[in-house]
Amino acid sequence: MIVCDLCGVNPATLKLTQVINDEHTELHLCKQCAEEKGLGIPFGALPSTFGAMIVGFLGAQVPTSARTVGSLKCAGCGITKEDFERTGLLGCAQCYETFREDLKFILRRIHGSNKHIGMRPPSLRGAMEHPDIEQLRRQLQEAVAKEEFEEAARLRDLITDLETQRGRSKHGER
Amino acid sequence: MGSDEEDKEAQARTGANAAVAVLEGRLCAWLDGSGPEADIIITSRVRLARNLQGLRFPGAAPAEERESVCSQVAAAIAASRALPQSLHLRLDELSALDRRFLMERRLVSPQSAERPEHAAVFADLAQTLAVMVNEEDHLRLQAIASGLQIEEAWEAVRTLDDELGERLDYAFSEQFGYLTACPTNTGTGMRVSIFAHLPALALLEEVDKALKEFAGSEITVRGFYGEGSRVQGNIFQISNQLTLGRAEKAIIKRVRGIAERVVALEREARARLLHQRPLRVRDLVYRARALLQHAQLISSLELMNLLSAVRVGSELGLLPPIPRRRLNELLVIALPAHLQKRAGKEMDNEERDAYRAQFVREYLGV
Repeated sequence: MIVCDLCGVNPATLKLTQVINDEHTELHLCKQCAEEKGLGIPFGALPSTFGAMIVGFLGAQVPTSARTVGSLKCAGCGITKEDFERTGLLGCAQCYETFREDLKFILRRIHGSNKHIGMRPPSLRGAMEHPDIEQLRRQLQEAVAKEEFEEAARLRDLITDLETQRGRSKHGER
Repeated sequence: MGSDEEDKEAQARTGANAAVAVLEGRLCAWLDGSGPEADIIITSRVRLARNLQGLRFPGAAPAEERESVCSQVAAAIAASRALPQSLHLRLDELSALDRRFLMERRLVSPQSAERPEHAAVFADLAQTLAVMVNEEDHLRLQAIASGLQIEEAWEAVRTLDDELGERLDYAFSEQFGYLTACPTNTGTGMRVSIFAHLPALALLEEVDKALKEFAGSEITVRGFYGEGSRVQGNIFQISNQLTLGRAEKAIIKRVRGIAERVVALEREARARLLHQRPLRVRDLVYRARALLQHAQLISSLELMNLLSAVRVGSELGLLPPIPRRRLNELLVIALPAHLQKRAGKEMDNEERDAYRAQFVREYLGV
């Protein structure tokens, strides 16, 4: 008999399956726990058991070369590296600086990249000094020609952001 | 507690309760069964995770910082054109039943429902656009649309994000993008999800085969399997797995591509099912209708299965048509908190199951 992963008492009659690419993760549940945890909700969220999968990624040895030395503690929130490894959660934005080297490795493991290429907050969109949209367009064409599609996507979004922003300032909006 | 404070608390409770009462009378617009491919894609949702610079993430923040987030977000929403006529609900002013009611509407997560201190949610009356405050991140912005309308949901949530981003100082780094409590959300902070009803693929046991086709597509699929590996409700959630190193539009394009392919596979499977296993399908559909007509106790999990079968029966013309909207609505209004609020009293499991059986029968007119 398979016992429910949540209560550890009742027999499991349901199985929640998560497939990430080709990798299956399963959670066995009894009917009562499933309903109590809101899992009977067709659009419901998953229990944090799945959220904690990040810990699995952390379990993978971060190479010594990339490791921050010693028992590091974030000055912003007091989270230690051990806390992070246990919960999979960071405590504040400053953690990203405190654990920067480890995070560069971990983020690459999770996302296959550690460089953001998406949107920027509105307040930072004007931070580029006199951005030359025409030059960005030329760079975009070059990136497409070289089949560097991620870079092309980044440039395209940057151009859209800048155009939207210019459109707004023309209309006297913030 | 002094009488002034008692008054204040009573007043606050009236405010939050009044907001829940408003929602009780209005169903979520995303249940209306409209939108492209709504026979298979029930909803599309885009969610953005955001945090405020200089304050600890909710899980590590003391009460006063969590409170500061609540008031900053409230001020930003009040000062912007985002969320006109929005409802503001403090979760710590609500009963456990009301929080669960909000969870069933997808306005708060199970985590927030269980940890309501200094947490809040803002939503428009149609409940298509919402901001959850102090869950895992300071802000979770979401837009939900019915059918396959990812771009529309994205446009709505992006507009809201831009407006709030002009008034709030988001935690952001050039290297890592939007900074979130969990590294799985870092970067765009964006999760695009579609909820697809795939009964034919499930009946033909071809879901795994379909998923194999998408291996390497950077997506996550979640399904709820019942005994004998029959899928519960046959509703699968498909969402992007990665948030960093991909531009928002690229993420949308990818999930849309998968959604379109899933729709094509399910349509083809439905046609094949009718042709190859007509008896099996008719048996399933009529059995489900019989249970809906006569069962005296129906749990919410069982209801999902029955609704899935009568939905496919209605779509394939095996049953007199049942409005898609009614079937969608039952996925929410026959859930435990909704039923108890409708009945006006708390009920135990068996009472709920009995009330559900009766209510669903009347609602569908079967």
